[in-house]
Amino acid sequence: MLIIKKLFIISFFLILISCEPDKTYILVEPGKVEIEKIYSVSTNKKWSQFQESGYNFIFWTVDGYTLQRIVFFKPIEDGRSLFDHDSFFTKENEKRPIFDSKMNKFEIKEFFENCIIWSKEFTTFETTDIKNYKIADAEGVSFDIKAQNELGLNYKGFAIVGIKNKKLYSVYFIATEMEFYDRYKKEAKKIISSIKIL
Amino acid sequence: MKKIFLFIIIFLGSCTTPIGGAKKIEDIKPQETPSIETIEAGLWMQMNNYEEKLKTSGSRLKDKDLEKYLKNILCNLSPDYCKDIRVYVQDIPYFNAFMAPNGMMVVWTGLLLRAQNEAQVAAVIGHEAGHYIKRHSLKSWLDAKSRTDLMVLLSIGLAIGGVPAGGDIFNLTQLLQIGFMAKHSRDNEREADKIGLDFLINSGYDPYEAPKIWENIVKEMELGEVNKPLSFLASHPAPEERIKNLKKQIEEYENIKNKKNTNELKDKIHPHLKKWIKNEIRLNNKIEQTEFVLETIFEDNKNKYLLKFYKGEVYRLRGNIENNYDKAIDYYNESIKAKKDFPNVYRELGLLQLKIEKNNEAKKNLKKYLELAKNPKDELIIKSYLN
Repeated sequence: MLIIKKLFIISFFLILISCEPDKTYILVEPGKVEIEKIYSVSTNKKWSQFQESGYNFIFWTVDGYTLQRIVFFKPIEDGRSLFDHDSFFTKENEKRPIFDSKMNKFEIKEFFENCIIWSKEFTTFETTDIKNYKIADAEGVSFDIKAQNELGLNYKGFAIVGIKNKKLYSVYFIATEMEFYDRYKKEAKKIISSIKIL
Repeated sequence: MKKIFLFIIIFLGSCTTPIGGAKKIEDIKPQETPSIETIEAGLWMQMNNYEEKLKTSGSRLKDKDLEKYLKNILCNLSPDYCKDIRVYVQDIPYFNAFMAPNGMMVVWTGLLLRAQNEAQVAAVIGHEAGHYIKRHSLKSWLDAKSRTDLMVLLSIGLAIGGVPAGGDIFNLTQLLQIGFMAKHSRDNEREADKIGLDFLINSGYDPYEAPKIWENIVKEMELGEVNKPLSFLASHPAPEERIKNLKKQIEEYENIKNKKNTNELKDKIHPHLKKWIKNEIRLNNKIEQTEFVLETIFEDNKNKYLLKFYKGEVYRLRGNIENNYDKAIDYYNESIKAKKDFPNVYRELGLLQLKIEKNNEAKKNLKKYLELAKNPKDELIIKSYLN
């Protein structure tokens, strides 16, 4: 009886250990990486990847979301917005910017900008230096980002947005101007330029 | 028992003076600071903390020249309190300004965008200074505290009397409390309006600009979606009531001068105008409301081409429902009629025409844009559309 009891307790703990709770963060190893079967990218660094169902994006970070991140938005169709999970940022859903697959290159940059501003993540957000850019075979644009949050922390970054099969694909890198932008911009550029749409 | 408590509530509802809390509070003297042991000192401390954060906040507009200009207006209105009040501008596209008890005044860019001249801005600044001088924040705090204590007592009383907490009478009590606090606040607002008006006239501004800024807000509200709050509950006098009171107060004055100083205000906000208008359009308010705001901004006919251009932008950004694109194109064309060499209108017109497959006209306008803009940064993208 004692042996059965011991076996039961050991088995119970073994079952507990083998359970894998839903992981919010996973470790991304250097190499070629598939992101949610949407993008594939190449990276030379280890990253933490944030993923949670219901959110319209996945982000990579090393030192934390507020210090630096690469954000991969899931593709959105006509009538959708980049931040459609209204619990996340703001409840003014009816006024959020809406994507239209007929938008021209300037308008998709404008749409991206408007979505970020609407999310109220930053108190100021500007885009400059728009250029033609192809995300794999999706026609789009790249542009630089400059932002500041409520605490007065300055950010720099860059983004790419493009339309393929009437869906908008967008990825951006942003980091604090002090320290983290310079440290990660080269790697971020490599990652973003390696993007393929799956 | 229930009847007794009902009677108390109705009696209190008829009271017109604050109960217990905000006793006679003297005006703050110039350079006066509260003693450390007072409630007022506690309020100041809280606001000092907020002010320290605001100084470096991302939402603070990075334009010391504009803040200095607003501060100069304050010092002209009220030289005695010039050293006591600091003026900050926050880059928030809504109409608002507020005064903290420690002397921190904040003006939002949405207000500056809507102000038609310096006299209107001075009316707001004078009004906010009135709140500081009369210590309205302290009065409101004391009043709120005393009413809350009383309402807690009443709620207990009601419960003892058998009225369930979720019942109508409990909600009525809360309603009265909010109404009382709002009414006291409205009294403060009327007092601040009077002080602001005194400052305005003594400084030589046209006092009729004070009700005018509210007349514009009323018109804007009527065109917008936001329902006006119940008059009884609004923390400010209903704008119509405010306009009426201001006009009545103005009649009591003689020898009124007419200074408006339109130009300096417009010059000071000019560097930010494009961004503020873009932020206003981004709010996605009703088209009529945004159009009204634009008409207020460009009421002088000098920049009619910009008014038409931005109206076109409003329609373009709403997407092609209810012929918005046709309306946008009409406005762009009107902008061109008003000024033939404004590059941006040709770009937006050309790009929009490409969308609706008017390709020949589109290319003509995009080429015109490149010709006028002279090596713009987006040249390659525009050329890719031309090819």
